[in-house]
Amino acid sequence: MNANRATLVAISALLTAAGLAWAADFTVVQRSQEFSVRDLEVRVGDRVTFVNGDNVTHNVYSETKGMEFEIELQPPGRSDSITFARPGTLEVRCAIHSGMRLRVDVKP
Amino acid sequence: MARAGLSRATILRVALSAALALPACAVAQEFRLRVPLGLDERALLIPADNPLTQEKIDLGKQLFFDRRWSKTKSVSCASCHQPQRGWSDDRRLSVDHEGKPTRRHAPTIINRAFSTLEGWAGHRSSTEDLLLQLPFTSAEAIEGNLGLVAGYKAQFQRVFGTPVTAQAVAKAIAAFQRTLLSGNSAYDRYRAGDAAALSAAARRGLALFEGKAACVKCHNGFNFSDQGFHNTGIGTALHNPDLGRYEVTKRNVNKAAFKTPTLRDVARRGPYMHDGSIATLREVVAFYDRGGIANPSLSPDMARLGLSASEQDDLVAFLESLSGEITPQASQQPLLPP
Repeated sequence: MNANRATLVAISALLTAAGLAWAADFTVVQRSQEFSVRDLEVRVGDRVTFVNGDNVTHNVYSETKGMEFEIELQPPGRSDSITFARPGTLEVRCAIHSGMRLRVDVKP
Repeated sequence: MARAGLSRATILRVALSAALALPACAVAQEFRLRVPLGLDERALLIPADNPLTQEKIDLGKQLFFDRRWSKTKSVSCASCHQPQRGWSDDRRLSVDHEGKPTRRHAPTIINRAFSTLEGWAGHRSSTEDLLLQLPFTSAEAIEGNLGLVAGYKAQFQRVFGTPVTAQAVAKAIAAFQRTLLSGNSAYDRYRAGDAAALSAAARRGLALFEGKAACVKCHNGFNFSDQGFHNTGIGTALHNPDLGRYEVTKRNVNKAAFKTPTLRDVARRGPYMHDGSIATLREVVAFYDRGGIANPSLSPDMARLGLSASEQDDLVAFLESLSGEITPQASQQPLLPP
């Protein structure tokens, strides 16, 4: 058992060193015209999927300098994924519903 | 928010100020806003740098009705936000200090204590910010015109510890505006358990509002607004349409999109929409039943509703049940210092 664990740690370390560590997946749901979380911490390369769980259209975007993205019109039920390529903190909003705000902290 | 009763800290501050001869504004007591049935006190947004006090609210009310701080001394806030018209304007387009029509209809100012983005396009981030940038006045006009009024000079010293300034005028009027809360409507009493508060027609209208007509998609929450910006097609057929929220964000989704207004007290005001182009509530309901006006940026959430004439009447009956109570004293013209 200990030998297996040591092997896994070694492989993980090798992958990390090679920049091939597993990217994680996160899900943020839009419901009742709010994001399901207010703050989210991810790592560079992680994927965040935005799910429109509302019965209205959303338009998720961020205009934080250097980390801009826009999903544009997202009808109810649709999911769209964003991968963050660089570290930093960005504010995510909905262009239609001004009260919707999410802070994403992207760690190196 | 602090309670109205004297706390030990307040007593200590009063004693200290008396001993140190601090200006009276330093000991102004915080005002506890009475929130009527149906509104959510936890959602109140009172800026930390502009707490409510009775004296500030009283001063703000005087300024709200006083024409002397406009450039031409001809218009006040109450010229377009008329208490007897649901704090809105019965004219399609409001008129500026030179008598010229503005490009938008005056929105109601009730229940603004629950949100921050001001104006149909959300172009200002607070009431204070909006008041500081009104086109019908200027810092020079405010300080020049009101700074000569002895009564105001004394009041500003008492409330803010300063002479008359544009910033202090904005804070006082914003404080007064935040006290204009409309709740305790027939709808609120019905929700609170009084089954007889709504007529049968209004109850049917409520079911349509939340169901087939899907008005709650945008007119939701206790204040019947998602604080969102939507293109319903109003005004888009014009040669140079008003681009609304797009002017602020430059995002295509916001083209000709305007803020969802609260529906509280909606039957007391009119005409309706950001350009005042629809005269009656019944016509507004018919407009939404048609799915708005087709245009390239029409909100995807707009759709034909297929409401019968009697269903539309029921919706109007429900909307009429949203007329609430505002402290009567707020509507009465105050005495202005000569």
